[in-house]
Amino acid sequence: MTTVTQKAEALSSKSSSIPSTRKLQRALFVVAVTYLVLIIGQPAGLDLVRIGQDVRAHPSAIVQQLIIGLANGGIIAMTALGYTLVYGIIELVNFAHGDVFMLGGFVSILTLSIFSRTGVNGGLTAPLWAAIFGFLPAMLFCGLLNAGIERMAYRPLRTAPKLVALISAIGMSFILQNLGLQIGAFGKLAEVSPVFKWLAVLGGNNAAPKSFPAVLGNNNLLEYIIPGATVRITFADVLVIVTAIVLMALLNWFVMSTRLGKAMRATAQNRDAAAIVGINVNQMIGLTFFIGGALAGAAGMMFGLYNGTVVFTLGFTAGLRSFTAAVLGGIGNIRGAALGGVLIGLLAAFSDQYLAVRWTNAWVFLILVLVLLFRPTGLLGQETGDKA
Amino acid sequence: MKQKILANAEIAAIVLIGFIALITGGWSVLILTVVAGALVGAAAPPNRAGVLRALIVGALTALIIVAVTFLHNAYITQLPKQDAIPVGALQPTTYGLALLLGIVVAVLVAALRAHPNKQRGRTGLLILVLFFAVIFPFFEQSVQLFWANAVIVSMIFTLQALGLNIVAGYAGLLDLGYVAFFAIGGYTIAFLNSPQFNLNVSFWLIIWIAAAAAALFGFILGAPVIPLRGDYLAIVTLGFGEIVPIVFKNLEAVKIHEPVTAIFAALFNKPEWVRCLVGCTEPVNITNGTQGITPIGRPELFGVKFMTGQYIPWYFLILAMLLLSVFFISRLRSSRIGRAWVAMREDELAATSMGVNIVRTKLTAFILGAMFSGFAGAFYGSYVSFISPDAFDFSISVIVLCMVILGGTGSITGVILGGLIIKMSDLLFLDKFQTVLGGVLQATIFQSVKSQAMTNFLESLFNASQYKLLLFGLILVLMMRFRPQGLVPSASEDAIT
Repeated sequence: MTTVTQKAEALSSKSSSIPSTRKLQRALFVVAVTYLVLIIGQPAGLDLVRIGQDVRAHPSAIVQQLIIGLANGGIIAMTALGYTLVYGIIELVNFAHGDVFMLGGFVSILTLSIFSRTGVNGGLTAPLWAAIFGFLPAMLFCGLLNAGIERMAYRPLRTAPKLVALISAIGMSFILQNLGLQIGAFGKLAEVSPVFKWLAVLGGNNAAPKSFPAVLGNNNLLEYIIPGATVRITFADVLVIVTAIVLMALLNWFVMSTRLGKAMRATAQNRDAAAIVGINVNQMIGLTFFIGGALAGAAGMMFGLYNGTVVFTLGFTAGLRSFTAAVLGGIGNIRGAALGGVLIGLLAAFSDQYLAVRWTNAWVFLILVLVLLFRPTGLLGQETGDKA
Repeated sequence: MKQKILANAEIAAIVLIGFIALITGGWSVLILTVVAGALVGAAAPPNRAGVLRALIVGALTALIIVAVTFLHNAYITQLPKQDAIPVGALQPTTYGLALLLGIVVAVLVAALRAHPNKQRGRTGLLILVLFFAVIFPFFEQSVQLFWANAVIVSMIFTLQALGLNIVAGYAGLLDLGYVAFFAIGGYTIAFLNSPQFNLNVSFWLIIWIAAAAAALFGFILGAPVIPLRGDYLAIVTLGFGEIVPIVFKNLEAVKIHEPVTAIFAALFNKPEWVRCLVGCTEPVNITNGTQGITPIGRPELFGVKFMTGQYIPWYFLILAMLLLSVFFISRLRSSRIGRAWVAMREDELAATSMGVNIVRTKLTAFILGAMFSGFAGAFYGSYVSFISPDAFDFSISVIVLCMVILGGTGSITGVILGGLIIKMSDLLFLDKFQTVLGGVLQATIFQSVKSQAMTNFLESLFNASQYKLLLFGLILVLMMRFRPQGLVPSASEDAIT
């Protein structure tokens, strides 16, 4: 039984005083790993000299990336909430969620296109009220779509092993991605009749990225306050960050303070017990999917407004990033998803600036893998027995 | 209750094969009747009545296929935009031969299955399968069917599916980043036998190195994820599968400094302090980025040179690799470690308490699973003579997983069937379907549509090759809904739990 005693020793040494030799060993280990990371990380953009020079040359870039990271983080957080809500209630990684987000982008591009006119430089421009109104159809569509997916693809599998539902979700993701691809075909209708002129925004090539109509202008708001400021804060930054905060506050209020929210939490905690006290469990799960989908729809709109284009493969890459955020924060935990989203947004923004854009996805996945290995419950998650 | 003559599944299979025959037409009738005959024989109960039944159902099925092929050759080839009529137009004797072959195969398979000596019956079945596998490429070439490439690629994917079946099927570990090992195998041969590093190691050695490299990475991935379970494991492996192609895509200009000097140089802004370790004069180009590596060397055996466009040697090589793998995997499955995999899949706690070493069992599953993908990757690299990171995206992981699930997780026969069905329908059927659909639309709707713009729209909307993803997605969703155990389920149920 030597292993047991060794384990016990290791445990006690962790909690109380660590012998100096072991301390030294641990320190040496950390130094060796850091050294190795600094060597291996270099092809992936971890070039300390260049980073140092970059920071000295453009110190304001740090603030700039902070703003970009916050805005993108807000979008990621909104999508991550959908993952976390669904996981919290039925313990399913809703793989199709990212593609719901992508379709939200497509719905918003079409809504905006109806109200837009050709601007001075030939591009489409839409009025601001259209952008704000445009959130509604995107949220409604994505909410209903997500609830529909749950009804068709997940509800029949609720008693099946967990991975059966996960594979079904992967299948759903492929179906939605194909829908996103085929929506592009309708761009060709624009030439058929002037009635469909608004579909021209989808372009001639199904797979090509679709450009959003310009809505928010590109003025630097900070310049009105501090003339000659090097940091740019555009209206898009403000709109995205404010919308994200408002929607997340609304969600928090809904889940924490309303009767329905309470019922949802009860269902997440114990489905059978919730059913016994008269909660319609199926309705609650459907509602959760609806809310998650609606948030993804809003996030799709925000993504389009902020980054200018949407493409049908967006769901996979953005979805994986959001899922990483949800896991980082502690999956199933609403505030964790918000925190994780902002952290991933900041990480990606700083990686884009200081490491290398081409390696950003690798860094994000590396973080995901590391978090899962060392803290499988995430930053704010609690130990929940058999989940990890 | 009246006994139904045909089971629902049989009717569905006959309709499906009939539909395929309607789309492909031409000489494929001979292959389709043989395949249908084999399926009918395999579905019949293994007894004397089953043989009789196979005779009747086989005759019916073959008749349907022949009739439908006749329809195709007579009418569909007349539609606009169709391929040229097959070489050496089919004679009535060809149809007769197809009919006969279908019935004979059905009866033979049923009879061998009903053979009182089980061992002999299985040997007979194996010989029958091998016989058709051996004559297929010669038949294919003589009638110019142009199926060889698709069949070889399908067999490469089937080899991968067999490997994934170890991880996901036997051990029950859902690996969503399986493409990483395929990429590692492919890049191994690209590094060792191409102008990239001016190396020219023999192919016969490289496939083992590639398998070893993939196995090593299987270990590297497997070791840290041992404590993870279920969907967390799936997500971590997915992350691994994403990182590996990114690494191959971006290692084109590597320059490495000594870190300690770099830290001081960065702190004091003195770039001249940095000591350089690798790629000092010129950054090292390891993977040639998105352009990929080409040309990759080809194997040579007993004076036979493997060349592009000459499919027969490639076909037999991959066939041999596939047969060897099937042999190894079926032996592994019934060995001590194979039984440990299944025990672990069914109940990890119970397996541990029965003395199964979980760490070792999981690791061997990852290592052996990765190895077969490494083989497949090396063969693929040599076969297409070109490796680029775009060939290794997430969709490959999912397609291979689809093969395992469609066929039946944990069942070798099922996985081979699933692999061949999915990849061949992807490469052969969908394109042909697209041509036929285009022709039908041209002859019906498009003729009445006057405006060119409308035609453009309809053509783009009904482009069948654009619906591959939808098809895979539907397969996954519907299989999970109605038959989660796959087409040919393994003896022990609930492979993935």
